[in-house]
Amino acid sequence: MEIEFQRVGKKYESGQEALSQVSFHLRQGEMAFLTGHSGAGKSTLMKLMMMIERQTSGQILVDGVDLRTLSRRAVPHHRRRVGVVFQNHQLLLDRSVFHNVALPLQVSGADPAQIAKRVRAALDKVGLLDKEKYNPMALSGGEQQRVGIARAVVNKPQLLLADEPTGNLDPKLSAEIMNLFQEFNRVGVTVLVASHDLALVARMRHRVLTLNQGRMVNDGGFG
Amino acid sequence: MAQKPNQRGATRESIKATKHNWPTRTTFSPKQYLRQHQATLAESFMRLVSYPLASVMTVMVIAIALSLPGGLYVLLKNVQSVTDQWEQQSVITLYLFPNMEDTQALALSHRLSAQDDIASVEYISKEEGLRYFEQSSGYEQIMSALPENPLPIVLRVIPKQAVDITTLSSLQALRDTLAAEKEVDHAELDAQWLQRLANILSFGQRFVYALSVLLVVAVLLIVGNTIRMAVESRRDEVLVMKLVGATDAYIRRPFLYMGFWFGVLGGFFASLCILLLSWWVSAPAERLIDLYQSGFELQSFNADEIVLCLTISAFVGVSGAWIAVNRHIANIELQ
Repeated sequence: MEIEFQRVGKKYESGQEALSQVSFHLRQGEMAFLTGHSGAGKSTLMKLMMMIERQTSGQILVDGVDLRTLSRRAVPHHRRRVGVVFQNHQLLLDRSVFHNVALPLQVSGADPAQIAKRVRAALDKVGLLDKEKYNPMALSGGEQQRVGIARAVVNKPQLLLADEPTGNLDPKLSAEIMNLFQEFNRVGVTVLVASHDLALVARMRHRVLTLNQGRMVNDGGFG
Repeated sequence: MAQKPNQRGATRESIKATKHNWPTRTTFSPKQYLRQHQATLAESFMRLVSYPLASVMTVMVIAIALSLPGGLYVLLKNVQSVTDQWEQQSVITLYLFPNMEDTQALALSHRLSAQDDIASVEYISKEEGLRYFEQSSGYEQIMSALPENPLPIVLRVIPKQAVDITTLSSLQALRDTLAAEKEVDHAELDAQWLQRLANILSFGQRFVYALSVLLVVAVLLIVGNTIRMAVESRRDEVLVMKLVGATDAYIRRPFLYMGFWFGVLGGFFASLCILLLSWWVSAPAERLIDLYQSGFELQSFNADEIVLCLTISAFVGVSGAWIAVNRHIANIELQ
């Protein structure tokens, strides 16, 4: 998936300007990091890509299509093409790991045999195949985050977004998670990871986009 | 997604192939659609069962709210069936003008008895009238003190139709035409009690309708509130489902089915209540009715009415859920 921001701005009704004049181009199959202090607008940028919020100025093109032209009904279908990983993983605690990962497939109406196969494939990729029957609460922080990643990729998205995916993890686990993203990127998925862990980002040697108070202040290599 | 994703994950080729191909709807498959609905129907029932106390309370409130108008409806239906069967010989009494001569009165009497809708006419002369009056009232002294007989000639007209609720209006029309005869001072149809009953019945009917509307609105609110709380308690789930690309329809569905179950179960228990109540009152009611008339059978809710009750309550349940869910789901977004 190809993403292009053209002078995108987001101003909230309260008058707070979360993003202004943000432009960048993420090519198909590219992997990039998004850094900046907290409140710099990283989450807002992710939300615009997910169409959780809409920009107040500028254009966002996804595969050449202006997101503003999409109707409310098209939003769920857009989201199915995008996998998201959150810092606070957003897992449902009333169901097993398996059913958490199966959710994106269920909502898109996949057939049950297909769901089981693909959920296990996704869990296998993140190394949690033996934990499918567990409740997410019974897992460690790193494992929970990996369940979140399995859920993000089970639908084979063309874009993978991660908002502070390593926020609560120790350096070793963080590196493991980042390696996972790199693996998905290697098979052609466009990946954008928001992180304030500059040391880790630098080690990954990918393009780095830096936001400061809603403006894109750096768009270049390796942080 | 239009293209079936391959097992290995998205490749550069598959990405290129789907480029610019924005699916706004997944391809519709009736089988898949049915399967989803079936699963949701069962799942939403299981959710009800998993909170038995709250569910039972909601269902019982709905059942009570529905059994009240339902019970009144049955009562009304029975009163109506009693009065429908309750035939009585009808009589139209014609009081002629005091100056009418016997010959004129007799001529009228003959003319009327030849009419198609009249069975017979009974002629009561002034003297006969006086005799009846003295016998029945005991005012002999007063009557004899009067210089002359003050009573008019009276014709008792017996129409062919017996009087009941259905023939009342045509008998009233007959009375009006008879009253228009030039010899007739005043005509009276002896069916005032029936007239009153008809009025009471139509009052009762409206009362039941108004009450039904109010209670159906109450059920709508009860279901709406219960569903609103259910959505609230599943806020996280709704949020995550939205994030992974669930359509509003998909998110709405389990709640609509929940409303459906509340409605159907409420309607079922309301019908059960009415059947039990009718059975409980049937013995004394039949004894009472037997005093006046035989061959009366107490009517309860019949199969058609049970189906109607279930349909209405299911519809109200789904509508209540719809209103609550629509207002609520839109407000749940990642903050």
